[in-house]
Amino acid sequence: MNISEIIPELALKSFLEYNDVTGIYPAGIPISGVPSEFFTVSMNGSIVSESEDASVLGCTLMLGVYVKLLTNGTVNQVREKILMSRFSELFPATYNYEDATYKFSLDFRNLVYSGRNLYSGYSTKALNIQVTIY
Amino acid sequence: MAVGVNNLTEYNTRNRRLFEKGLTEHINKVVERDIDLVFNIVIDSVYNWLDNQSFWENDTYNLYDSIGFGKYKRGVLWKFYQDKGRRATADKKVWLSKGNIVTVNGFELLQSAIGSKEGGDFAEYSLVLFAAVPYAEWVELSLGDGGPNKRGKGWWSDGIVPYTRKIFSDTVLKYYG
Repeated sequence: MNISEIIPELALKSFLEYNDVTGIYPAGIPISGVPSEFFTVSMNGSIVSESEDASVLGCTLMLGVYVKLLTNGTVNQVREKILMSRFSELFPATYNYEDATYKFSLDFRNLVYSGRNLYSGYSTKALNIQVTIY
Repeated sequence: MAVGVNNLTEYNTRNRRLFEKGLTEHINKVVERDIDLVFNIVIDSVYNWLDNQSFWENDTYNLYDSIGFGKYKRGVLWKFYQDKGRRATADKKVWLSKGNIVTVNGFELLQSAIGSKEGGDFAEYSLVLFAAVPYAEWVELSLGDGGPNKRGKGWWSDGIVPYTRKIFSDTVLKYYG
């Protein structure tokens, strides 16, 4: 397996879309036409080999969950809770994408960021997803 | 004789694995907690410094908003901090050459820096101070309309970076020196 040919962000996007999760942006948030809730997927750190022959690779992806604030400016906690619950159902998971198998596991114990000010008009939760590729 | 050597090798291998497992658990539970304590003290101190700094007066808070901290473990961001959320109520208008004007939103610049591959993969644990460029650099070098007194010039290289480094050293010496 060649590290340069592996794009874990697209594998996770494909996995989420396969499970009917839409509004995923692996290459940054667009300036216009942003939906009321959306998700960002980005590499967090590097891809590393977990075996001597590089047949098993590992990396961390960061999943950003953005939910539009309510009209009174407060966090839409109901919607946030529904989305986080949905993700807890989806992970851990194994998914085949472009001749490689991806194992995703989500760390709910540690939020990289949780707040309402990271993106104007939206609340944000950022979580790390451990990825094993073979 | 050969059997004895094999047993000794297996014994040593098992011992090494147990030692490595114990060491890893110790690092994760004890050392990581201590490192986190130092990081938190540094972060709190720097935000206090920012509130009382004399390098510039906050007109729009966009420079303030562009500053954040990332805690990294083996090159992976595991916690991101920005002090009080977004403080700027309007974008900053930056005057570039030939009359061109761009608007800068410090918070959105910072957002784009999070998770960037510029993270702290130079140590087992690292604390990275973010200031979203180009705006922070623009103030640092006084490239725009800073006025005759060049407000904010050197805020990064002469101000926040030496202060952060000093607080980090002092804190480590105080608790673990």
